[in-house]
Amino acid sequence: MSSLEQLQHDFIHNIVNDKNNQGFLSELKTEKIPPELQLSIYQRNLSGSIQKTLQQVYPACLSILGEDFFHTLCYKYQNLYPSLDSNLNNYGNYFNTMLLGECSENTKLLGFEYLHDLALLEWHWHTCYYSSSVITFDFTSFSKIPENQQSKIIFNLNKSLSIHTSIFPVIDIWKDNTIEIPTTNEYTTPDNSLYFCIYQRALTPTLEIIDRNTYKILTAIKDKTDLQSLCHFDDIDINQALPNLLQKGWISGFSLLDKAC
Amino acid sequence: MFKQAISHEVCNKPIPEPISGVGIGLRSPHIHQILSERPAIPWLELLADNHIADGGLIPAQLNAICEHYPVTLHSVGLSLGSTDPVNINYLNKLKQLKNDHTIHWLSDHLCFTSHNGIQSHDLLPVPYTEQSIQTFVDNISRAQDIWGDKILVENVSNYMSFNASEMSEIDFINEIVSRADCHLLVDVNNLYVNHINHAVDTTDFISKLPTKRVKEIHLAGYEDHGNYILDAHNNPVSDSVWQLYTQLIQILPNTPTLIEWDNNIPDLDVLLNEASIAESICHQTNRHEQYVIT
Repeated sequence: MSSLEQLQHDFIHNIVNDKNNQGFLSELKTEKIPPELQLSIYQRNLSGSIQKTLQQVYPACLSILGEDFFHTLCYKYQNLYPSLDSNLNNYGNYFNTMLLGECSENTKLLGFEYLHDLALLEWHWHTCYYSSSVITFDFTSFSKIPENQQSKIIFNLNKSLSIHTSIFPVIDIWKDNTIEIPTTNEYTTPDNSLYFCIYQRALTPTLEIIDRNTYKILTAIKDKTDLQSLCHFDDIDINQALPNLLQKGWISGFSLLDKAC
Repeated sequence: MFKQAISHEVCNKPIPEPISGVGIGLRSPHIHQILSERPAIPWLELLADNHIADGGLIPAQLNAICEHYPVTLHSVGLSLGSTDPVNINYLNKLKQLKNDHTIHWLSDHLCFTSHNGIQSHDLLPVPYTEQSIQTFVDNISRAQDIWGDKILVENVSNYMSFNASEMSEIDFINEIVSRADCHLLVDVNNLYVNHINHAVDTTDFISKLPTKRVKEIHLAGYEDHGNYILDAHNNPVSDSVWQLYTQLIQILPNTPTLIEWDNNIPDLDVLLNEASIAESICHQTNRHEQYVIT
């Protein structure tokens, strides 16, 4: 490792992990700003950027947890999951995973078990804003697929679509804790599970409640289940369901064998 | 050396008018107002990272902005001073913006932002050494090859000084831009921050600038932290920075200038007022120059 490479390695690790490594500090000049302060300015800049980013992505989690506790979690997140993408808009996707661990380990979070599902909702709402909703479904090619090949059809979901389920009323919790008022269809808070999806409509994120069967089909499509297997799902009329999914733009294309269409 | 970009005639893009005057950095709170009221702003600089998106409103807004205003790109992710190889994937995304729109130029910073894939999301300084110069030169040359044109590199504000440094900041910059054959963006606030924090000699810095390579000037506000000042972009341009700008514009007349404001973003009118101050300094300086010549 060259001296410059070593210095950059040490610099980044000292600011990401908030350390004051004496070896690195000895590389710095002692002048108007002391070496410890020189380093801490960069450490504070990074933690400030991370906090600001996560606050913007997870406004409801912030509102529920309170600023101080949320910032403690941000600091922990920064250490566990250093940013690997130069675009901060892509940072924060494992926050829900960390919250799941926190809820099982931290007694302060007893009764907040819904935070994982809420964070997942907020992450997908955030990423939906930047994702592509381009539909490439070629109906002409689709209609020409020979009958003996139809079992090999695999549908592709719209890149902006995410599918969710929760045993908690996370949509109500989200609505109560964010200033963004999502467009949702009417629903009754379920006794068992809530199913919904987030997708881009007219270039903006939209949340829609779906029924259990639609959730089941969308999940199967996401898992690359072929058309033949979809046709054998109990309680689901695929001939009725598919046109609806196509009309909504939730299915955006298909592939046959290894050929994308 | 960078390879010549495809000519505008070949790709059927209109030849853009040159950038001139005082522009502002486009920030999301102002996009709607700018698109609906279309204020007379000579040009806009976009933070490239905020406009890299696969879909949604952002590309649509960018189309509308580019339709009505001359646009330049300012990125923070090239990490030109890093010992890591240049991030080709990131550069290709920037290049895609250039292919899809009329982008006058791309600028980034004389710093590193990542190492071994880990991002600092900050503009980190390097020691002023021959090894650092060569690292910048290699990375800028590679970036220019892919971008297809010369890029602009900006002097950064600095809160750290290294024992290993062998030269002054301006000598370091001159060596890089000369060897990499790139353009320079002079950030006056960064120069002032380094003057206060590290006693950088502003007169020496300005007198040694490679004037033919300077294609843009940035102006912004700082935050006073007592024993140091921070390039926070959250305040109006300070009197001291206006004074430095007045000196600079005398040797760099008609250089496109930009007002940057990134935190505690005020109403658009506040930015436009800052731009009008810069415009009047340029006009006064130009009038004075003409008077002296005649």
